[in-house]
Amino acid sequence: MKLDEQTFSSHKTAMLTLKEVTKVFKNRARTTVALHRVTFTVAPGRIVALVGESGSGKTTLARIVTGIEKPTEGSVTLGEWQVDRLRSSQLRVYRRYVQMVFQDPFSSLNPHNTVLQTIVRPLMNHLHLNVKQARLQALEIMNTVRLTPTDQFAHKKPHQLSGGQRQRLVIARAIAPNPELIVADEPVSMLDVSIRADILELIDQLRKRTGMSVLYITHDLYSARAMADEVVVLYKGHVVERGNIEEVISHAQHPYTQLLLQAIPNPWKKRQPTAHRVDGSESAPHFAEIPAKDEITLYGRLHAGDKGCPFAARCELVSGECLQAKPSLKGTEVHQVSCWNRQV
Amino acid sequence: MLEVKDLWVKYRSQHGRSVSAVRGVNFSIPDGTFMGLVGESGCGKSTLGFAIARLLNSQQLEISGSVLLNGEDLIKMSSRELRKLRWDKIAIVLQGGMNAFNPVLKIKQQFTDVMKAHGQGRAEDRDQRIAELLRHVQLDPALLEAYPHELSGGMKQRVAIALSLVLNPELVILDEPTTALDVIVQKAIVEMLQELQRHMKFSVLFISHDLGLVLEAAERVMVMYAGKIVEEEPVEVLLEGAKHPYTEALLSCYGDPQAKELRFKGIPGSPPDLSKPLQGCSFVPRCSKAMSACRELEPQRLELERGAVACHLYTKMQGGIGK
Repeated sequence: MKLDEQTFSSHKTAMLTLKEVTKVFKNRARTTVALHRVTFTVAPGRIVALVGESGSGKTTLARIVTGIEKPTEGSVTLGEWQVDRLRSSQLRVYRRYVQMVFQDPFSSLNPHNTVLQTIVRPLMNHLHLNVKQARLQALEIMNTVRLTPTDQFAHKKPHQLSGGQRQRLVIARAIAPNPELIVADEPVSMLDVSIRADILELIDQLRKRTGMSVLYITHDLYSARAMADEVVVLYKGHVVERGNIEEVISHAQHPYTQLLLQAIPNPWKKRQPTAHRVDGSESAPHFAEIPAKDEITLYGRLHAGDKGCPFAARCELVSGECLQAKPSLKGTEVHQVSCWNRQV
Repeated sequence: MLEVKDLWVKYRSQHGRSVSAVRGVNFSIPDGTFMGLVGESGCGKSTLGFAIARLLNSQQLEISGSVLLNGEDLIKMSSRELRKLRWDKIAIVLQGGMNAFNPVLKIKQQFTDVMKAHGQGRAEDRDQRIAELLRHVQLDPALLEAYPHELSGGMKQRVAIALSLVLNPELVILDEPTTALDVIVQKAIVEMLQELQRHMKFSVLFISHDLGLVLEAAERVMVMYAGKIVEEEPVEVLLEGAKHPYTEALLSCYGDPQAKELRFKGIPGSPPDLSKPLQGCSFVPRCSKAMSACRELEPQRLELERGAVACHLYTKMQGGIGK
């Protein structure tokens, strides 16, 4: 199972493949389907955006990809790693190849450790460098993520850094063991807009330079378009639309993807309300009209017995079929949608 | 009508380095105006909102200037006078406000507490009023009997907004009311808020870091940077072209996600340290249009035909520098 260290680190070839991944959480009161037969791949060097709202299952998916959680059904592989079957001793090795960047740079760093210590640790733990080598390497990584001048930053602690600098440090720590894949869970949503572009650009540069792939988890289609190559739209644990990002955004088919796109604040559009409604008419959608009770449906759990389309309760296009059976993903290689009423 | 005149807020720290979070702010909100206030973290926008509502602990800070609500100065008021005025004339909704409900009280009780404290009528009238408010925020009046934990985040924030309107205030301050919510819920709440404001004609101070959202929601917008209002204008004027280089830079961070070409930019550098004295314009280090005058002289608020701006590019145009 263990891969050849040398080839693994020099050029990256590992493909992340999720096949029919289902995750069910059970407790005495209820059974919750967090993910329902999710299938997609992240090719080496690609950035795939996973887009959805709270409760859509995106974080559960991240936990499965990083091996924190095991899927109930289906398989997850990264290169030769069978992620869903790893034992805890293997997990420790696996984590060298998959690293995470979290949303909150204020709580994901150890406040006691300096910048240098934070980056040195994964280098020693995962790459087994000695202290001297690790320090040299860490300084180089600081240059890469532009925590410069390095001598000024090396001995600072997290509280002495700004939000953007902290997130750079989190990224530095993640790329230190030279991973195959980075799972970035809302890496910019807590930062000011003025520094978001910078951080996204950094992630983009890093993948070009190192050939790593990125699973970019976000609720923001705008930033997804700025960085990702492909997008997977998740609703209540179901992939409702998927494909090339430009294609999906310019020809969004699923009513949910369209709703997400229209919800992005867009002051320029206000004066010329041409946003196509879900039914295809010209008027702008009235979000205020969505009855608030639908928020319960939105956040409510999906039960094991539910057989219809997960979006049926909120959908304007709903028809008999939608309540009877789940639609499946259909379409072309670059764009697929899961809807009874819409096709690519 | 709310008028803020030369408002300063200085946080005192133990190490003797005080931080001026609000530095000489002047503006007014005419009755029935939906005013937006936008700025990056640490620019002092929340402090300004809190200062207006007098929610700051005066032992830890110095506050000077005046906040006039219909001619009465809130800064000079005693806490007794303030207590009468809150909810009744001025109400506030906070970002985490949806989590600040008393967890052991039903939604109904949260409302009646406020109404009783302000001597509001008979029990039946109260119930009717609460049910009406819940309908206004598009919630089922049956939720009166629910406990806060039974509601979703978006529903709780709707209740918080309804609660702020319970005594028909003249001014509602909303500090990042939708930041913790999903985009679709955010959109729904902002549209609802606009409708309520048009219908009930209160004025709004909507504070957010999200310029795109503020531009969509508000009629007028104020842009704050390093404790000062650097630009204030009706939204449509700003959309035609920002005047202050900071506003311009901030605007370029947003764009139409479905536009053919995506422009996605940031602003290099970071805001100044407000614990240190500043010379000249606070935006100089990040400004692409800085001139020598900007480093020496702090630009003053300059009233324009339909707004105001504090930037030397405009004082110069008007022959203002050196006068």
